[in-house]
Amino acid sequence: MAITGPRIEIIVDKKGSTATTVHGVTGGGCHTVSQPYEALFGAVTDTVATSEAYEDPELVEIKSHAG
Amino acid sequence: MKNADVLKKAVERIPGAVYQGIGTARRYNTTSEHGYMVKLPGWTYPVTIDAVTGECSYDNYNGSWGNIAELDKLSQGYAVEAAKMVAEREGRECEELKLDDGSIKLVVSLGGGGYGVDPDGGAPVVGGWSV
Repeated sequence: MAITGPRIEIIVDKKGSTATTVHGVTGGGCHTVSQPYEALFGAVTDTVATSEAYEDPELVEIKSHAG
Repeated sequence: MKNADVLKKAVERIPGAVYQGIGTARRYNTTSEHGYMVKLPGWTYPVTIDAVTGECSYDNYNGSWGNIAELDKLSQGYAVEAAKMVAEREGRECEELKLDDGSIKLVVSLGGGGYGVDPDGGAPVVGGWSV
């Protein structure tokens, strides 16, 4: 089943660059960023999610404000 | 590319690629710096990835000893697997779709039990799943 609700869509191009959009969050609208992977989820902090670096800064936590 | 587990998964996505562990790789007339070593298909010498900085070093002699496209595949696979690992750890549903231009699209659910409406026109959702 396709995910159609609040979601992050990540496009990883052929060279590994990422572009992230956030969809389906009330009040948040769609937020588009283009960041290296380290900032993948942190880039959407303002509208939807917060990120918190673990020991490995490439691995971050998604905290949803959806709904 | 700093996480060995993610790197191994990225390697598994490339037919013929081999993760060779941590060490120092032989090059044409030198040796690489210490790091994760990955032998890419068609490459003469392994790529070495610094475990601290995540930076790659390689000697492909301007393409004669290795097609840079294989290294691009590794970078792409790493980004995909890293995102999937984060999603899995957070208990998020994650879909992977291959696009016509060679890009990969990941869709990570943000639903966490609340209700939301998709401004893109999707159906109302509960906990990130359409109902």
